Amino acid sequence: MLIKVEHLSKSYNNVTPIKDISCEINKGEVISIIGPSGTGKSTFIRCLNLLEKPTSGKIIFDGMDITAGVDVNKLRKRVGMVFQSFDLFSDKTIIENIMLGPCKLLKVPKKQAYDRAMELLRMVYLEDKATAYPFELSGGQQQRVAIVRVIAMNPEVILFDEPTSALDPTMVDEVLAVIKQLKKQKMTMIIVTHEMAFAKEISDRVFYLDEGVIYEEGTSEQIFDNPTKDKTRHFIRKMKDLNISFAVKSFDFYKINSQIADYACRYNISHNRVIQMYTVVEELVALKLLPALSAQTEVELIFSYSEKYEIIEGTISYKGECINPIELGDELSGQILKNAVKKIEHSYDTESKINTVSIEM
Amino acid sequence: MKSCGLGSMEKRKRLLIAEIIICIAIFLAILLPNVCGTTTQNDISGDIEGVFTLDGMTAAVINSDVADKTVHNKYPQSKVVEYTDVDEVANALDKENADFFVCSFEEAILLRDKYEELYILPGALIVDGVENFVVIKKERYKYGTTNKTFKDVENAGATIACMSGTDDQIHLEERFHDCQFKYYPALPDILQAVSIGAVDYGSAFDNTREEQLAQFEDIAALPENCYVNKFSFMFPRNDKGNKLCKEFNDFYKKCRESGVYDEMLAKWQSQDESKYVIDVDSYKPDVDNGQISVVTLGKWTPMSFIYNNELSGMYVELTYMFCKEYGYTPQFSIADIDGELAGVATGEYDMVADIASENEERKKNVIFSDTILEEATILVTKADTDAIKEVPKAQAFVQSIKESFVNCFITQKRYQMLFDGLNVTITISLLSILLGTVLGGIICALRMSGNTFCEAFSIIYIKLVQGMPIVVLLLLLFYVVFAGTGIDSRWICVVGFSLDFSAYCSEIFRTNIESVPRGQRIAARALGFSEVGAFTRVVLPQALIGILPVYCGQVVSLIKLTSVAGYIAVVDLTKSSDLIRSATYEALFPLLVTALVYFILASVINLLLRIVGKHYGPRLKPSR
Repeated sequence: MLIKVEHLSKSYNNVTPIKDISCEINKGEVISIIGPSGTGKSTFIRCLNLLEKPTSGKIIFDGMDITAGVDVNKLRKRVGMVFQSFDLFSDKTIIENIMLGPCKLLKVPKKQAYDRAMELLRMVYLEDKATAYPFELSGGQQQRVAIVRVIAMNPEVILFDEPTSALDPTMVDEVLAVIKQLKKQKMTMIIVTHEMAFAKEISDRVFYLDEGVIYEEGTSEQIFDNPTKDKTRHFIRKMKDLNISFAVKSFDFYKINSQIADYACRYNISHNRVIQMYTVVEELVALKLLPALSAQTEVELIFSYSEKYEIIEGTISYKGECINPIELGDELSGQILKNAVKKIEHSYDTESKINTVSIEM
Repeated sequence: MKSCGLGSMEKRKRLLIAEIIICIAIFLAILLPNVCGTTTQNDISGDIEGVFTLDGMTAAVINSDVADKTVHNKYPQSKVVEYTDVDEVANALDKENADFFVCSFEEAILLRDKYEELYILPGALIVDGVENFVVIKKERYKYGTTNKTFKDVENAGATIACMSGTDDQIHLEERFHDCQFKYYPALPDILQAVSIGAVDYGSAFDNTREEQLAQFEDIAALPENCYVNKFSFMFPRNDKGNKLCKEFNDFYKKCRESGVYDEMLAKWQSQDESKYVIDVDSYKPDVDNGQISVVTLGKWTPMSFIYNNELSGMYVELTYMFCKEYGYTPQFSIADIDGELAGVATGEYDMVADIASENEERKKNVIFSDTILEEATILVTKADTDAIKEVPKAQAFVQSIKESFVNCFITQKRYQMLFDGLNVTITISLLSILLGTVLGGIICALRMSGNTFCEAFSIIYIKLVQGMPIVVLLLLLFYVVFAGTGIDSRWICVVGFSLDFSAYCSEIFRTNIESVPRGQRIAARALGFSEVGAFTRVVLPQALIGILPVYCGQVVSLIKLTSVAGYIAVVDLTKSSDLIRSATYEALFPLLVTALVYFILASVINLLLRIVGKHYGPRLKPSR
């Protein structure tokens, strides 16, 4: 085991991006960290090389507790990091960028450092750029150099902080290809990324970070194909939500319909789908459910749309006695509803007294 | 960098040639009108030099006891011839049967208005409180003449130049209500201002009138006296000053009684320049009662001036004598009158070896010695043009350039003074640049430390220093912070300029350091560099690219700024040229050469910094 994290938390004056993270990372493993923006992914991996000082918890690297005061500079020679913005030293040539660390920090002889740097540049097909300045390179080329600069230090693990976010789409692949190559060389890597397909392909394990914790963790297949938790699924499937809540007495059919129309327009949802959503609202909510509820009851209606998987999920929840609206109402509206949806289910949680109707369309 | 290669070389060459041509044109444009314009004949035809030189000549009077008495009193060796009316007198003067005519002012004016060839000599002869004036034949007067009288001044609403440190304005304002007043630090400046036409009239002293007129042939004095000033030395209003003043008064009284004072006066007022030497060694005190700091004007011939690059003059010698008598060792500084007054009021100096007029306002702050000089103030103005005898310009041009050059720099080895001044300027500049850069680095570090207190301190420091004129800062350091500590004012200069330079430096450093993307510092840290390593290896080399050119500019502007060092009695390049200017009454060459020296100095230092930057600094890479 290379890295072990125990109950790590990090808080700033008024926000706590990381609440409680525990995990283990083995040598040679490739870990992807995914999750919505602002959930502490970057903060987490910056804690791993102490660019951020953890508020509490332990990080054990190679059997040594690095949160208990170690020589950070020594640690960082073993833990490389690649940044979103490349951050090449702009007054130095490419070869100097790569040689600076080995020469000054590892005290490698200049000739040897040069040879190694050229070898690495050949690996990323940039040897002809050795004497160029960073600004003469494209973003993708700069990021490849930044990766090489880290590799030149012979680190035991490389942290990638959104390595492709600042690149335009045509350059993403060249950088990802380099990272794939590193996997072949059994490099331990922890990658924060938004490239889902890439993460799925390269990762041994995937951490889904949300609410300051590792919300769900598993192999690529588990996380990407069969996420067990709602939030994970929403994120993986890039689901877009429409939340409507109302009290029974103030139900406004036309207002809800116009909200659905806006929602559909925003996410480019097809007309057929919109009709389906209208149908659910009219047949299920207006005709079957509402007459059975008391006037004060609060009802929450959620539609989630995934463009990728071309599905809409609907959830209707309300408090009170166990009432299953599917059974209610007349035969005809039941038939119309059945035609409009793929799957419809009612569940009741006796403890919190919450009815939930799940619909798949 | 668009063009390169041969084309740009060609262009650069052409640019250089054009630059040189423009420089020469500017030089000539300044030089020609100045040198040609002031070309006047040096050997003067007239034999009468003024009211002091008439003794022995034949005087004319008209039936007047008063005039008779005046002649006997003032010119005991003169023969008196009596005439019956003014026409007769005019005739006699014209034929040179009589040399001068003594009469009242009204008579003199009458006579002059009637006969154009007659002239009223400036300077009243006062006997028993009655003023009489001298009329002569204009041709025989050695200096420039004017027909203006105080009446013209009153009517004209003119501008009058007067000397700061005197009560000129109070007295002159009483007399000339409608006039405007401008202040100048010393007499030569006033005369120069009149000569170039910057003001209409200038106030001057009666006793030294003829010397002044000899220097400026295009200046003439008005006949009347304005008022009589009492002048004396000054001491600070503290125990030491009290004691010194008492001792000085005793000494001065003894000098007057024993005739030593008159001997000295004769020595310094004589035209024989070989006498203008003070044998300092002979004035070494026999007993040691400590040092006293003495300040003097240094540009008033013959009382306090620079001769052969040594401080010289009657008041200086008087001070030496006084010090020997009481066992003091004098330390001389040179300052303008404002500096003398402020310095002695704060106790920076123990004695002012220069006279200032006594008034009630000043007596609150300083102690005056017994009156040393009573002197009438007169007015001078531009001489009537026909009085100036011009010589052909073309012939005189080269010669006059040569003459004034020699006069400014070769005579009395005055170039030595310039070199000394240059030395001081360079020393102050280099030390200030060095200390200021180090201090600037420290301030910049504080500013970027992240510590609230340190940051606030450095922000206030930078704002205060940048918001204060450098002269005010120097004066504050000199008269307040270091007052009475006896620290050499050159060091105070170094402190002042270092403070100033550091404030600008720290901001130059900070802005350029901040312009280096933060990510690169973090990337270096992530590679394993320490904070210091990341700064020196990654941030600094990039920051230097931006720092160097601005820093060079700041250095040049600092060198030029040091020219205000004279404010706190430092004789730097500017001040020494100022001293030469007042000693020779020549403005052109001292100023021109000083400007040139500064220009060369700035260029050389700029070049040096550039070379250093090229060899040891960061590579100047093409910009993004």
